[in-house]
Formats: sequence, C-alpha cells, structure tokens
Amino acid sequence: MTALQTKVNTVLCTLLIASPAALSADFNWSGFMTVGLGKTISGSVSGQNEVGIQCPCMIADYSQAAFYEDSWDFKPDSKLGLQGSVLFNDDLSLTGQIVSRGSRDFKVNLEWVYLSYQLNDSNTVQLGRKRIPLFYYSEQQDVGFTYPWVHLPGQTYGWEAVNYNGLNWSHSLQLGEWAGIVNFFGGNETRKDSDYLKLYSGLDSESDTRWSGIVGAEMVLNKDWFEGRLMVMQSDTQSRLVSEGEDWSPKAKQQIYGASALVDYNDYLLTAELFYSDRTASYGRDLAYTLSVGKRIDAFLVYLTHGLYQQKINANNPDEATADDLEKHRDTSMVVKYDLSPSSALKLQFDHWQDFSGTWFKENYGNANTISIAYDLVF
Amino acid sequence: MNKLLFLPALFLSINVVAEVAVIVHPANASALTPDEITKLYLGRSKSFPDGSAAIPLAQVESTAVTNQFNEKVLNKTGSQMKAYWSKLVFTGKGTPPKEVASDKDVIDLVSQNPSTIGYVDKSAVTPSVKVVTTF
Repeated sequence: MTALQTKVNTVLCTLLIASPAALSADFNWSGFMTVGLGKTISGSVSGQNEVGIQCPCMIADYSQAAFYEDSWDFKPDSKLGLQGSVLFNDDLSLTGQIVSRGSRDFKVNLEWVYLSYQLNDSNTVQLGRKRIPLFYYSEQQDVGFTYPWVHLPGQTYGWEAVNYNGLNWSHSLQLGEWAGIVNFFGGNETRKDSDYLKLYSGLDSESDTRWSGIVGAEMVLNKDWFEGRLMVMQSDTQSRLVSEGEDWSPKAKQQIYGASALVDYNDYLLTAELFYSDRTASYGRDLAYTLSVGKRIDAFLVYLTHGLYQQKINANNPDEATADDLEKHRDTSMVVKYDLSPSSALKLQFDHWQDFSGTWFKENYGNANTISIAYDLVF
Repeated sequence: MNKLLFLPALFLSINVVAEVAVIVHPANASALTPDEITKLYLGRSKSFPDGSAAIPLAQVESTAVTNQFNEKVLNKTGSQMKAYWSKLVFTGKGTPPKEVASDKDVIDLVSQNPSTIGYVDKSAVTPSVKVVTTF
C-alpha cells in the first residue's frame, strides 16, 4: 500500500469513527459469520510438503492461503464480518467492513471502506477500498450465506489480489424487460505479506504483490430467471520475495476476461463461469471454468460443481517458468445446503480435487478428497 | 393423509393470509404489472412507469403477509430474499426496502406519501390507499 493509499484509508476510518457529522447522521450496521470445519480424507501426497502444509491437503481459498490438512480444522473457512454505514443524507454514505478470518489467525482486517455518492437514480460513484469484481461471487466471497458452497471453487476464485483502492462508477440500466448494471472501476492494490504467495514460497516466507493501474468494467443483466455477466480488466502486476531481499519485479501487463451465466428456474439452478487471462508478459495464459447444477427441494439445496484451472506456459517466457511449474487441476464438489432460518444455513461439502500439474505442484499438493461443513449466518 | 403429514399442513394454514394487496397512494395513477412490482422490490428499478420516484415498503420478515408476497410475487423464499439482499448490502450495491411493522403502518405511510408502494393483507385495506393488484 502506498503512503497515499494508507492516508486515504486513515482519513476514511477517522471519518467513520469520529466525525461529528457521523454522530448526527443515520448509522446502521450488519454482519455475517461462517463457522466451518473440515479435513482431507485422502490424497496423493502425504506428510509435510515443501510449503509447510500437512498433506493430504487441499487449498480452500488461494487469496487468503486457506487450506485443509489431514486433521479437523475450523480455520480455513471460518470468518466473522461486521459492516457499518453512516448515511449523511439520502445520497452520501460512508461504509466500512472488517473481517476476522481463521486462515489469518482471526486477525481483523479492514476489507472495505468507501464513500458512496448517488448522483441520481441510475448513477453512483464510490471512492475508497473495495473488492475487485473479478468474478460473479468475488465481491461477496466472505459472505458464505449468499452462495451455495462452503468455499468458492478454487479453480476460478484464486488470485493474489482481492481488494483495491480506487474509484468506481456504476450505472443501472433498463433495456426493455432487462435490468442491469454497468460498473467501471480503477485503482491499485499492493498486498504486503501476500497470503497467496505463501502457498508457493512457503508458509514462513514473506512476499509482496502489486496490481497497479487497474482499469476494468463489468456488465450484469437480469431478466426473470436469467442473469448474465461480462467482465474485462487489465493491470500491471509485480511481486517480490521480501524474505529473500528481492526488489520489485518489472511491471508485467495482464488482461483478464470473465463471463458468467446463471439460471434459476423452477428451483433448478444452472451456473457457468468462464475465465481467461493473458499473462504473456509473465508466463503465458490461464483458462478456468466452473459449471454447476443444483436443485432446491423445500429447505434443501443439492449442488454439484465441476471446475477446471489450466495454465499455459509459453516457451521463452519472461518469468522463465518451465513445464515443472505448470498448474492444472479439476475439482468436482457436491454440496447439500439446508436453510435453518431465513438468515442461517448449514452446508456439507465434499470435494474431489484432481491434479494434472507439473512436478512441483503435483509433489506438493496433488490429488485430495476433502469433507467440510459450515454454519452460515447473516445478521 | 397420515398425521405426520397433516401437522405441517395445519401449521401452514395458520400462516397464510387470504390475499396480498399491493397498494399505492390514491393519487398514483400507475398501473403496475407483477414484473414491474418485482423490479421495484428487488431494487432493479427505482421509479414507477410514469417516471416518478418509487419507495417500496416491506413488512418485517417471516410474517405471513411477507412470506406470501415473497413467494407469490417475487417467487423467492425468505431465505432466498435474505441471501439476495445480503449480497447487495455487503458489496455496496443496494439497500433493501425499508421494513415496516404492520399492515396499519404500511397503510399509514402509503396514504401520506405518493412515492411509496406497499403490500398488506387484503382484508386490512382502507379507502385511504389504492389497491394496484392482488395476489
């Protein structure tokens, strides 16, 4: 995080906590919680891997370095979030959201803090710290109650940057029977002591990652039982292994494209997400997809998902990555979700992770079967 | 029907209101289709068909009239509605309709403000509001 970004965050926090205007304005708060528990039940790697994880093991959330090992653990998927909003008037508000997650030893992180100004009925501008809307569930990824899984499919939802400091403008659309939103966003994100890179460089390592010059747009369209989404963004990426005294790597451009389609018809659910990234300036390309089918039966939901992540490493790539570094895996999962009340749910998930990677990933993570349960609540 | 099956059915019958009436201010001349009402209550539209601003009012969750409105008009269960709004609230994309405590409170607010729209048990409707449609 640059000094300027830190300053912006500090000012926004101070405003949220101590502004006299805030004291006289409308304040409301809400929150969410997931208590998860799980373990791997079998896998192709055993014992402690190079990274420091006890295998059989399975990555549950790349961006927070959440993983399941061979013993019962409630840390990977458990989290508690609190959100407060101050409404200065009908058009201007300030929102902050903190999250404490098990994968980070329950340290409290400021995930969102932004000023929101509604220009008119169909245009809103927001400034501050928000979440990069990479995929359909990216922005809501901490609120387990809003999606079917115990953890999001790692094949699609697994990137080193999650949030950004910047600006976004969202415009709502009415196109005949269709309703939708176009959202333009831009900013930067520097992640100190990146969790994501610990999964590759070692749990004891320290790395920084940076996405600078983020510019992107997403469009979401809804009609009756259908929702579609397109996203495109680009940024420069950099990283450095701090624990080895490295300096920032040269800036490398990336372009990311996402498309999602969701059908919710007569209690049948169908979801498809496609992802493509061009990282020629680093190592090559990434392709990922997630396909799901589900059926609601009274308060139950049965949900089946299959996902693929496939890296393509170019010859003579700038990162000097080789076939040994290739990452490719599939995960097939089944979830049974039960709505305990309108604001709480129980979930049971079984994951069957198949690894087709190069030598390094295969020797350190490999195949795994994992069972996890979660209790989700919003309040 | 055996007794085990009969019990939930009995429970359900207590929690069902006869008909849900969607109401607006008497001066509001808008004709609203179920689809337009759905868009207003899902935050996908913020105005009546004539272009004037619309303020949807909900009733507190898990009441019979709210359950029936959610299921018949919005085609969602209480749990699905909560998940829908949680997604928008925690991602800075919207706020759910204001919740009001009773049919009487909805009628009072709607009769005083031409921008509002609400839903009540049809039997509670008074001449101070206009019924747009019933479900």
